[in-house]
Amino acid sequence: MSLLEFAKGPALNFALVVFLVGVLWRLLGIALMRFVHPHTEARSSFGKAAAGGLRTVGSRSWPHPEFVSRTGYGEALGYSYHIGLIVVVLFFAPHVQFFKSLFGVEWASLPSGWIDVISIVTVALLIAVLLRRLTNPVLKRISNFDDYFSWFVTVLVLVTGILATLHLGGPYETLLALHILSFNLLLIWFPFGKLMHAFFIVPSRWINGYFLNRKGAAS
Amino acid sequence: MKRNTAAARTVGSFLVDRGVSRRSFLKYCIATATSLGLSPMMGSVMAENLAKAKRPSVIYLSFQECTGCMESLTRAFSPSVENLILNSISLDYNHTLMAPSGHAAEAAREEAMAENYGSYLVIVDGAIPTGGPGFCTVAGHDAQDIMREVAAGAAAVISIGTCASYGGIPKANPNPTGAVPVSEIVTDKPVVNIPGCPPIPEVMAATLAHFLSFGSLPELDEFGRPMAFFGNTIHDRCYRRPFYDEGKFAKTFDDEGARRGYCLYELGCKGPTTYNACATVKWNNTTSFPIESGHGCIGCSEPDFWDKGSFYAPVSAGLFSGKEGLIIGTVAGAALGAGAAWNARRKRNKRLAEQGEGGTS
Amino acid sequence: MTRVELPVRVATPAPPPNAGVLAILTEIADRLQRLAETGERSVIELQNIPMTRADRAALEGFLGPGEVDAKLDLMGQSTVRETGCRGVWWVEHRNPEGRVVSESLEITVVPSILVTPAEDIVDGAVELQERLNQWPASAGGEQDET
Repeated sequence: MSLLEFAKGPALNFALVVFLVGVLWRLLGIALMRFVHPHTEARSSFGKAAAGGLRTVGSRSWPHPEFVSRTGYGEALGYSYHIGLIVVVLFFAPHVQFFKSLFGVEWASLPSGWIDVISIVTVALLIAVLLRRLTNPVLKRISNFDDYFSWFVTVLVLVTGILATLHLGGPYETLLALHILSFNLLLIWFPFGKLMHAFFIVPSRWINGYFLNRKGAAS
Repeated sequence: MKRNTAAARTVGSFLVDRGVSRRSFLKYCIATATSLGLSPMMGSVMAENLAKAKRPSVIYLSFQECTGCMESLTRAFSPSVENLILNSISLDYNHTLMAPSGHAAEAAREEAMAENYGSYLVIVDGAIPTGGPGFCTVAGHDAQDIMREVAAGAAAVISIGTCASYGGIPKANPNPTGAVPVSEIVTDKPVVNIPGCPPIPEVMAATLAHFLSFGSLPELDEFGRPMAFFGNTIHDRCYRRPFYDEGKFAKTFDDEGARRGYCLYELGCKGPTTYNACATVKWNNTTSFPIESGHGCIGCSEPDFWDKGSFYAPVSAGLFSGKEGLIIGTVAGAALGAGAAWNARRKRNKRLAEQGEGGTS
Repeated sequence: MTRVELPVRVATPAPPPNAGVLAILTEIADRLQRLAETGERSVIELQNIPMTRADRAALEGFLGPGEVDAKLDLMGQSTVRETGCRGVWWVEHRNPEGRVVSESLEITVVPSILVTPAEDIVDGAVELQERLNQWPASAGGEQDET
């Protein structure tokens, strides 16, 4: 079995199972926990509070006007590289074919030239993100291994993908195998680190908003 | 079968006898040098050496094979110099083509070996079974024994086709006969692999020309293939490549995209991971190659091409082993999650009970 | 004053060569210099140099047409053309199916494919002598009769 078959076959299968087990464990582990019983009297109905929760999801995902001069750069960076990642992951033709092989559905893809440019820009943005983390004293203080490793596996997948498509540093099938192996590493790391924010970010913002609105606090 | 007349002793005189002018021969050598990645200046050197080269004695061994490789090498249409180069060898043993059979055939092989010991070439097509005696025998001898015996006196061994090069279809999972490639049996002689199912005759002719002109094999890659012909992927040299870059793909074999000649990546073309010269040298006297006929590359010149998933699954598709893993994963994940939550509740209830209802978290 | 119509045709300017073509042209100039000084002949192989059709046209246009245009029938056609830059030859070989199997620029006095091989000269001399040897006997006989 060649490295590529190993990456696409047993390694990918293993990584997917670990991903599935890990994600379900963390999601159900939290969802089935007993939540703190609110002792205050409900000022809003469930419906109003739930809608308020949704508003919070929106408002917390956008820079607060008062702090935009301080947080704008970081937020712009964050949004840009996330958009870059989404476009590259979902609209590169070989990726679409990968998802088709996994889920059985496919969608339109973008020309590979666009993807080349967007992925290189995304790597540049991620480097800017790392530099910000290293230079901003507060961010640096609150960063741990999880932050750096999650950054590393994301960049690793991107960089190996770019090297593979541009044939830089080795034969295509070897670079492709390394790209898939690094993706497998990301899948395995995903449930256990901060990459889980992809699943948590909306529910956690919503539940905060829900409780605040239930109490009648502004959100 | 054997011709040792003075007139046809060298490759040059053999070709002149067949009406090939010296200029035509020089032209062939210039083109071959170019195709081998050498300077065209080497064409003159090659022409000079090759003309003087003695017609090599060749012993052609066939083991677990389908004869497709030999069909490819012998079925040529026009009297090109390539074909004449292939014909210029003194084929002293090939049990498919030779007139004698039985003891007479084996005697011809032994005679050729004795006469040219240390200088003859061995061409092998087919894999060699190691799983037990009797899986493949010729004149009562086991394939492994024949291979070792014949290789002992060879100048070099040329593995023709994917079976001889990597084991090919006989070695395909679950490899019932324990088939191995030639390079696993012959370890003390130069072995060149010319894989493909079948291999390209021009590549064979150029490799032979290189060996006869310079006395050595051309530069080989990690899989023992001539670098000049196996240095690029089909995808990188494909005339449909611009469509890949533009994101234009055929979705089925008979849709509008297929008719317009769009890229066959989504239909499982293995061009991106296959190294061969099909896209440039082409087939059947440069008529076309599979992608030009509308079918994706199946990667036949790569090791274990038979066991790399469906010919119709894209290169980027996962090789999923089945739904069992995902089902087990879902159940295990759900159980772990529920267990963790239950444990957290139990601990919390216990703590609340200890602290009384008024306790805060 | 009337305008004099001179029999001069202004050559259409060749398209400006890009960096890749310019690199090849610089290399040719360098080698041509060496040929002039030391007589060293050389070949630039064109098939493995990635060039677009426009690049090729630019290269050909820049070198310009020359005085020699030879066609050779060598199991498929070959053409040997001297370019406008004397000493630079454009050599193209095709196989019997018409596909280009080799294309190169030879910087030389005369491309090797045009030179008669020494063995052919020997063979030719022998053959001609044989034909001549047959001829005088009969020709002489005819003369005697008149």
